[in-house]
Amino acid sequence: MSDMTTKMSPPEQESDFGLPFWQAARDHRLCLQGGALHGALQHPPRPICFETGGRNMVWKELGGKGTVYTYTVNQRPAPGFEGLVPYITAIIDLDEGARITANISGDPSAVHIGKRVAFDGALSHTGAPLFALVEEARK
Amino acid sequence: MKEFEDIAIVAFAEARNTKYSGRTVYDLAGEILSGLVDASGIGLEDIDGLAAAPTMTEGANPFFPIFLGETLGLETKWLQGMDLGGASSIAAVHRAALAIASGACETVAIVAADAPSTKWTAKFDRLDAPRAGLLGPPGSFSLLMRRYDHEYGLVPEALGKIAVTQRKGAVRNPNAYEKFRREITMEDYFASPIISDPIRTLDCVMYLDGASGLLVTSRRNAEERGLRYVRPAAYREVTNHRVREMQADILDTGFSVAGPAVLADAGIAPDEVDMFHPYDDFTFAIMLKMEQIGFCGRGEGGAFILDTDLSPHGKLPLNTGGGQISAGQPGLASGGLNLVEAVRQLMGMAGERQVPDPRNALVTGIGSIAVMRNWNVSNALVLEAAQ
Repeated sequence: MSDMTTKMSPPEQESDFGLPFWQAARDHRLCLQGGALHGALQHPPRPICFETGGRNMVWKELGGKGTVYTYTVNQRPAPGFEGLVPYITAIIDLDEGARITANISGDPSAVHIGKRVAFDGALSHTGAPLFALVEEARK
Repeated sequence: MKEFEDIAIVAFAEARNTKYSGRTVYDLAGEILSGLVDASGIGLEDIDGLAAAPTMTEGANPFFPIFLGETLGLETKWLQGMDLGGASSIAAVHRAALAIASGACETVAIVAADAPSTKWTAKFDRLDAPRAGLLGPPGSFSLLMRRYDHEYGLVPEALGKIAVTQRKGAVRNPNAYEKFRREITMEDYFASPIISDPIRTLDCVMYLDGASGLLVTSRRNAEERGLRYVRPAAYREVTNHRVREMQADILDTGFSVAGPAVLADAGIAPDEVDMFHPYDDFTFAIMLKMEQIGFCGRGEGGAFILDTDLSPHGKLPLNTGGGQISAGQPGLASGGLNLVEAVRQLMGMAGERQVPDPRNALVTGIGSIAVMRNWNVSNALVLEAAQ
């Protein structure tokens, strides 16, 4: 994949209830919304707590480690991704128990379901957290 | 179901699918309403309900359903703007039945018209859309297909068979998009470009200008007028299936609930379904629906498709007019294409693609693509031929 970290542009779709996610991303951190009662994570952010139906929610910083749940290698670019094909878009199961859709940097032929990935603070050109493939430990 | 006990579908109408027609939604809708009046002999003065499907063309206009009724000369007691995307037309049959059964009105025109290749004003940006370069619905479906392949093994030949079979229907359907009215082969399928791996061009639908509609009334009215009719028998709908589960199986759709339930309500087993007219945005959606409605088990869709004759004379005739993938998707015209084909077949009016004496049809809808799940609305309608 071409370098996704170069063309920074300000996020366009920040919402009131989702703003902390993007604020954290600007600080190169991965923070997800959780219910205040039991702390169950919910992503994408919502204006209501799925556990209780209330509005009492917290934001938690995650470790950034996860596993590829599914992915695609885009052969045609979405708007704003011109010149980047082929690139990886994946749904990642985060270790803390939530999912996120994100780009994964690195060789598209090296990605597979079950592959470990990590967020180390890098952002894509959209301002969203960018994950990287983690080299598998020797068995 | 109680609301369907006295309901009859007495007429259908459909416009040809075209690209860059230059027509307004109102003109397309006028063609449909005129067709319904002509087919039923029921005049504008006796149509007291209107269900209008959502559109891309007039999507920015919140008054569209009211303006449509005015433009078409309908004075109504019940007006419903439909809002379930590609699930709207079959939902409209249910909504119309509820309105008629309640006494709110007696005769409802369901009108689904759209001309997105001519004009597009709708916006459906989402606050929560990931900024990850997913290429619209094909991108979302490629994520589903990749996961399916991991869990069960995707059988591309089965998806190719759907594309090839439906294309045969489009060749025999004068309302299908002219450019699609030539047969394709399995070689053509595998030669079609990959858009968002593993999804191919021939797995996908194309937006066109087009329109369809039905006239729904009471059975009593239909019988008094001596009209032939089709009976809705059962309907189920699920929206945002398992939305609060953060790590639910992405392949588990609302059809796993709505599908078996609608067949149970209608009192038929999967192998007693005479025709299947599923909303088809992608070939893969058809296969997933077959599994979750119960025609076969999970992961068995590929083998089921390869083992089943899906032609009009086969065990399970599939989208006999080509479906949206081969006839073209008339914008947000809401699954009306699949629904109207089922009604046409049950009335015995499908010409050279007629299924021999069908007793029932299963029609489905899909409404919009969900973030990190599959789709939002899953609905299913069983229709029966009148005795």
